[in-house]
Amino acid sequence: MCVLLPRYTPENQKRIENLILLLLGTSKEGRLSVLHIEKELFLLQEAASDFLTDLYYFIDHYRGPYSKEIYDAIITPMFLESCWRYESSHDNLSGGFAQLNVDGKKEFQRITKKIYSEENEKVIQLLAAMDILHDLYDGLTPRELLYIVYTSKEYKRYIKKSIVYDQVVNDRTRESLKKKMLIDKSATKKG
Amino acid sequence: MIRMKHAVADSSFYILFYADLEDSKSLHTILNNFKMFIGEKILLELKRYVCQDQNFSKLINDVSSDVDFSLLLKRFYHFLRQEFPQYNNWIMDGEFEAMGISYHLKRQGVLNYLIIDDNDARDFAKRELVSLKDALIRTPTFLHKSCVNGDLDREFVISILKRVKGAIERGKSPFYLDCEGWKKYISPIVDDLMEEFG
Repeated sequence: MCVLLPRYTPENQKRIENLILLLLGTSKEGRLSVLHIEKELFLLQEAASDFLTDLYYFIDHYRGPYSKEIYDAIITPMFLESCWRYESSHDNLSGGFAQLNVDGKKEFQRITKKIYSEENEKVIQLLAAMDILHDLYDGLTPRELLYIVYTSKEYKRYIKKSIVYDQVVNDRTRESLKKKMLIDKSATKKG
Repeated sequence: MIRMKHAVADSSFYILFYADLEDSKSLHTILNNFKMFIGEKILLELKRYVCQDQNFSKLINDVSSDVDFSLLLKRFYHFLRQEFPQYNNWIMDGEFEAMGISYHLKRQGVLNYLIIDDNDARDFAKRELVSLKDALIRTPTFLHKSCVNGDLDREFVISILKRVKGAIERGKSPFYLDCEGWKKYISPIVDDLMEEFG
């Protein structure tokens, strides 16, 4: 099958970095694992295909759907290099963490102010979708998040190359998810 | 100028007026006092009613979106259903749509109420959608609160709530209630409104 990969352009690079900034900025702590960023932008692309499909592309990889464009933009941003700090991690699932810093928070405020003043409806919708993703997935560990991706029938095609499937899809993860899903989250502080 | 409160409701709210009470005028009164938003899936669920109500389209605010909010919510709920038997019921597309529109309004800082009566949809929203928890409300509580806040007239609200009982006695099930449910949940609201303002 022939797939047209997104073409690298500085403009696309900038748009991806802005998306990452918005995703981090709308999260509660301004800090997300690389795995969370990848998977949340994967789900976002599915819901906003009209304007995100050409921007980044996901392949079946070691830890589920993976976009090199997004990964590179997190690790080595070209336009927003002072906005977040990448912290590596010793675990084999998270891929490390991106933490918004003071400059990043200011840039997030500046951009969102502009979005609202220009009444940029499409981006406001993206922000609302990010709020949904944060509510649903930010409180999950990378293992729990990957469990959902691997066991959802829509994403079976992303299992094939997994090197962590058995580590992720097991009763232990299912039980920890069950505990989280069956408590009333509205009465507790979300992590 | 006082801003009208913004609300999103699932189809059971509208069906209360169209089918259970057969009183679209009361619905119009509410739509005149709130800025209410609706998406195409709920409109589809209501089409047999709204196509006979020329005022509805003038009073309601249609929302269309380039982002499929429902898809994000449905994917997650399907996972829950697949993995955990506790989530064994189906949530209607319209309910997911109402939740999605609510996120959109919330992001714009204007969401006041998300009216959902179905228990499964409410439980899902309450458990998983922390950002919406302050707006989530049932129809009877919405009516009560609107009365207390001065957004709707007391006699108007009491009349609706009393007529809900009549509808149940005629075999309808407004917001999924039976007679016992009316006594348990609605009667105290009516008593409260009559005492508080009486």
